[in-house]
Amino acid sequence: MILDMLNVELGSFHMGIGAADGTERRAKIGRDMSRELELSGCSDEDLVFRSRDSADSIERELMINELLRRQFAIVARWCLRFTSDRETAADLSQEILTKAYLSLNNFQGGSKFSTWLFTIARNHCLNAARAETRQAIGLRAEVDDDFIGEIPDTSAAPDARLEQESNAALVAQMLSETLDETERIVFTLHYGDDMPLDAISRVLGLDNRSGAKAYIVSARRKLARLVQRKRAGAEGGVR
Amino acid sequence: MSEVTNTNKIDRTKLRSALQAGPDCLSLVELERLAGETSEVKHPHLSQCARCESELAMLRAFQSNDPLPDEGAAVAWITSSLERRLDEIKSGKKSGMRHTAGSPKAGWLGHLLSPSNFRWAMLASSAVAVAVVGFLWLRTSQEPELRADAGSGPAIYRSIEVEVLTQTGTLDRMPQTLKWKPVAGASRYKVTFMEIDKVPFSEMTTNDFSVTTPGSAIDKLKVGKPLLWQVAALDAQDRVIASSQMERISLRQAELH
Repeated sequence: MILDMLNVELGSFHMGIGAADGTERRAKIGRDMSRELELSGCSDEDLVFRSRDSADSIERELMINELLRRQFAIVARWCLRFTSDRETAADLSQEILTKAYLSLNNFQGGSKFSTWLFTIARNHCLNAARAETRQAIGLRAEVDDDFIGEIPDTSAAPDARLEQESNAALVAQMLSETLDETERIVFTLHYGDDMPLDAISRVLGLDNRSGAKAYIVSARRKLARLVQRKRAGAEGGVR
Repeated sequence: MSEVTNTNKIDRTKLRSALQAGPDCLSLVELERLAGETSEVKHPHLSQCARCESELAMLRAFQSNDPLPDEGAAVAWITSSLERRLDEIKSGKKSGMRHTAGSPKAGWLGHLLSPSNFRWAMLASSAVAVAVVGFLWLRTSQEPELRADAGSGPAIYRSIEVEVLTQTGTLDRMPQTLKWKPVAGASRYKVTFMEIDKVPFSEMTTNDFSVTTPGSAIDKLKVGKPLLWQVAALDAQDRVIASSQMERISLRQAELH
């Protein structure tokens, strides 16, 4: 209602100026302004659905622009946490927004738009980090991960799926028994997603001196102790 | 506990796969709901599933509007850069600057010669070149240091030389008198007789502009054994203000006959 009134007011103001060309141009500007004002009140999800339904190409363009602009800062912040270099972060951001734009028709509204965008941004940045890792010095060298060899395997299980599930269950059990919440998260992101430690530090906002590395070292130590304890217990049981 | 006794060890690939989402893991919508909750009560699945805990932490970080202390300016720069690239985004163009996965990474030379670094590389090269040229120029143009006290004698700052009037060099006999021109400001003169190796064997001072050759000098002068003498002009404080060349006298061979 307010927007309609504003539109009428702007129209009457422009009509009052008189000259035909100028009046039309100013009326258009007024319409655009009122549209933008209207769009700013829409949710992200509304913008997606309305842009799909709109027959007016200019209006559709305005909606998409508004939707994308709203994501600039959130995506920029995310990418900066994966790479401290702002040029690379800007490129990553562009790639994420391009992917989102091209996949916009896949958004069904089952979740918030920001959650849907998160899945794109997360996967894109992790893939970029993995590619960078493969090219550069192996991040695995950052932390001595000998302890991995200490985690027992259940490959004797005949069924591969059962094997995988029992592995996952065993790892989950070890992590929940041994590590605190931050250690579990850091461990999972680093070993499960190959996420660089400095990116983990920035994403999780770890402001201790060594960041995620301290948590990984601590987790590794705790897990190695647990394995030793279990092995000693098992050997005692066998005797 | 039986699996613990298994001697086979898990490798990193298996660890990675063990840390992936399982069939019981929370859906994205459930995670989204949990991300919005402020309740301290934890979902029962989260305490057993590090994967879901991690996803939730990542989602919260993504949706959080709190910038880290050092990223405000960079976020603003990227935002304005994205504003300029809005048309590219909508046209589906990929960014051209970033190395995509699998593309060969430029070596240090490529990095140095990249457009963003080339200007700095040129500036640094120029600075190094200027420093090298300057260093070489300073080294070659510098004159050798003058040492006034070179040698074992007293320091002599002379602007004039005592000009000897007596003939020196190879003579038929030793001159009876040694003469020189007066020097302005000299209150007296010191005459030194030396062996050929500049070891003095006789010294005398006079207020006149000549001295009689001492007998020791006449005695020492033999054929094949020249001697040296020098006169120095002294001021009132006995400082040397001028000095003659080291004069050499020797006897001619014919004198023997």
